[in-house]
Amino acid sequence: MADRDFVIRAAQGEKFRAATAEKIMTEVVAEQLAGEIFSMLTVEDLGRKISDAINQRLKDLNLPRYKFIVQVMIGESRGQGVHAMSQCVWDADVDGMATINYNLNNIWCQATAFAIFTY
Amino acid sequence: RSSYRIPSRMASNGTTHEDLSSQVENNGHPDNNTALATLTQGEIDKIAKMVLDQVIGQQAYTYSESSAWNQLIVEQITTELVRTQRPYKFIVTSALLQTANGSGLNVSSVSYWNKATDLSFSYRWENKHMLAVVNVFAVAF
Repeated sequence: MADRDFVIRAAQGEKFRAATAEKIMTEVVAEQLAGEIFSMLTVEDLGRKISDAINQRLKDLNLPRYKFIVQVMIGESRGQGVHAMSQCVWDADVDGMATINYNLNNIWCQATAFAIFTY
Repeated sequence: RSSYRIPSRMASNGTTHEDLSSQVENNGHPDNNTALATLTQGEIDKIAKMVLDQVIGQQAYTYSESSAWNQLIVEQITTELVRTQRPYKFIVTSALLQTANGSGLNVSSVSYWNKATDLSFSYRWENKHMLAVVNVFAVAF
């Protein structure tokens, strides 16, 4: 695409919105985790399935200039401490992130989506 | 699609990257042959190990301190990455898990991006009391 148009800001309606993404992520996680109990045997598949599903739903939002990174952490609740944190170096005007936490049975799940704008 | 797995029963990490290069063109990003332009896993390992050894070292896990540690970890890794002066937007995530109870953890990530320019790294660090999983994403813009 040599004749590609460069823009500095996302067009109206084409900007990543954290609230929309969070709603999607909660839906996906709740749907995929329903009835699950933590097992080291299934957790890798489960994580892959959830992150793939979220990624697909984010793509379906039709935000043409965005790249997405979806990270899903699934852990077992056994009274242990865990702490997750992230930091980004990016353009705060157009790039964004959304994160949700979800607890069910003995599983805790944290899903984070990062959206990076390409100019 | 590539996959990376930390060989341990405690924690695993699966990463999938979908190629976007057909849709998003490489817009003038220095090509990957330039030694200075490409970050390597080795570099990330070095930075992450240095920061983690320095911040946590051999200390035992305390919940009240873990938040401050984690913040220091991401901040210092980010600082080091920016110092390398590579033309990327960086995302650094770090999870700190107490390992005393033998609970499992899985971190998986999927990206929708340009495989040719964008990079993802994972680093796993542990001492006797805790486990840290650091993920670094470098995205060309």
